[in-house]
Amino acid sequence: MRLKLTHLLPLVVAVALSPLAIFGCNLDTQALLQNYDVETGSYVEVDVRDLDLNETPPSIDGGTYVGTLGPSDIGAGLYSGATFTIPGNGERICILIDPQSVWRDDIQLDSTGAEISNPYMADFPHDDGDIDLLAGLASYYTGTPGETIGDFLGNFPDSNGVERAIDLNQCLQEDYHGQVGGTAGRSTPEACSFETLDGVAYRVVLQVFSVPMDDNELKYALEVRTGDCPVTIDECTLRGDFDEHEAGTLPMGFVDVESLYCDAYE
Amino acid sequence: MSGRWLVHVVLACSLLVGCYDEEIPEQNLDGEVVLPGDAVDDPRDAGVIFIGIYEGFNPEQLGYPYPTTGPRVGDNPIGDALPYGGSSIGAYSYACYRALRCKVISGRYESLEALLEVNPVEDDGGPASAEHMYDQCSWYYGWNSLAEFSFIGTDQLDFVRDSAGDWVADFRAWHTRIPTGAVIWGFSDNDYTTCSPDQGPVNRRRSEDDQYFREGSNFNDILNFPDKYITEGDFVTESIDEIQADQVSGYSIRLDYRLD
Repeated sequence: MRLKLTHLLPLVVAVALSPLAIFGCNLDTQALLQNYDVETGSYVEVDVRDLDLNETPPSIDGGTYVGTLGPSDIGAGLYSGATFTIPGNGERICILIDPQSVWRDDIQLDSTGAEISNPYMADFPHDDGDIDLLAGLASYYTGTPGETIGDFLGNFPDSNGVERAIDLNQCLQEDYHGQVGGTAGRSTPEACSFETLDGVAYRVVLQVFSVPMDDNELKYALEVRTGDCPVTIDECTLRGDFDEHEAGTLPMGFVDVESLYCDAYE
Repeated sequence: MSGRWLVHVVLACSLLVGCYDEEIPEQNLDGEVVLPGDAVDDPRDAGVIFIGIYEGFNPEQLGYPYPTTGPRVGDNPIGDALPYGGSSIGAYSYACYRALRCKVISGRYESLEALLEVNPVEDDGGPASAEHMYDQCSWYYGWNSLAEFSFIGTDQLDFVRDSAGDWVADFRAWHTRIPTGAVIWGFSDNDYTTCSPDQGPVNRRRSEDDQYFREGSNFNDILNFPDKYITEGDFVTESIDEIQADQVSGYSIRLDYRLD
């Protein structure tokens, strides 16, 4: 059989129309970016805060500090975050941070403190915020407070002339396998403790990994204590990392999910 | 361009590929590890041997032969030894029974009988025989022949006995930096401290026996922090070897210091 042009006509038409099919999907992936504001159609600027400029910055045994941070620009490699400086007191200190509690809306604590399911709420695991915690000698910090978020990575040439990288972050957390270098996941508290030198300045760095999707803002509760960290650290260890809901939208008269989780059966 | 010219050009290009030196600083480093015969009767008793290439050697810091370390950071008990690269002789293998997790090392056993002699295990209320173990491994891994058993075989034994009665094994440290003056140092973990039962592949028969466990594997910072894993009875290199300019093979270290 001889192949005629008319036999290929359906194929030609299909190829010609295929770009239309792609446009028909109209996928707007910008909405998936944490720094894109759907309501205004614009990108949110990176939010870097120097907490040392506050009237009452976080301090050792200074109680719980509650703050807010904006989204990071992950694509550009720019972190939002906050820094503050604490003078070492010659003792071990513990730094705790709890990012906003939107996580596990579907569970709560009963009167014995055990986790039980919450019949009123469904969980939405992708709505959470996450902050990663770093700390070290202020002189090793590579960022600029209030301008850019950095870390404690440095380089030095060893005795054989080979350039080596070294991480001088002292806020070491263990991962699932007990190896140092882990970070907690979304909305999960992070904590670390280390010995300090008396009178030497230490910088604590909060790097925003992600923010809740509802308002592109991440509340956090933070505390610096003298001594070791508590054995058990959970959502209820530090309080205040929540957004208030409108009255009547949460069950049992609660106006925030953290209280609903921690206090429902007290 | 005629076809003949084209052939010549292609041939010339292919030759150029062979001449091109990428000048990558990482190279393979070959050498041997010696287990003194007067300290080890049987290499089956020696654990996994870890070999690292380090900046320097500092026998004073910990009171036993140890590489130079970087500064101590955070709660780490000692500074990172910052290896340029390294290798091991033997690796932790899952020998089909959960009770043998983190106890069986590849390259040490010529047969199932030789393995069970050193690592007896119970099966159905009694000591497992080689036949039991063969059946268990056939079920667990789907192996149908002894040639498929990855942790046994006469052709897989790492150590050979030399004329002086010492046990010698070759090693290759893949893609490591080898600056002149660096040292090769190693240790033998004879009590399996370097193995984590919570790492490695998840039980491959989980869908059948509904048991969640991992097969066990080495920790990932052993060459960085060897001191975390070196315990009493382990062998350590006191006679290190030093990297010479433009030499990538022929090195030898001896595990001649026993930690008490």
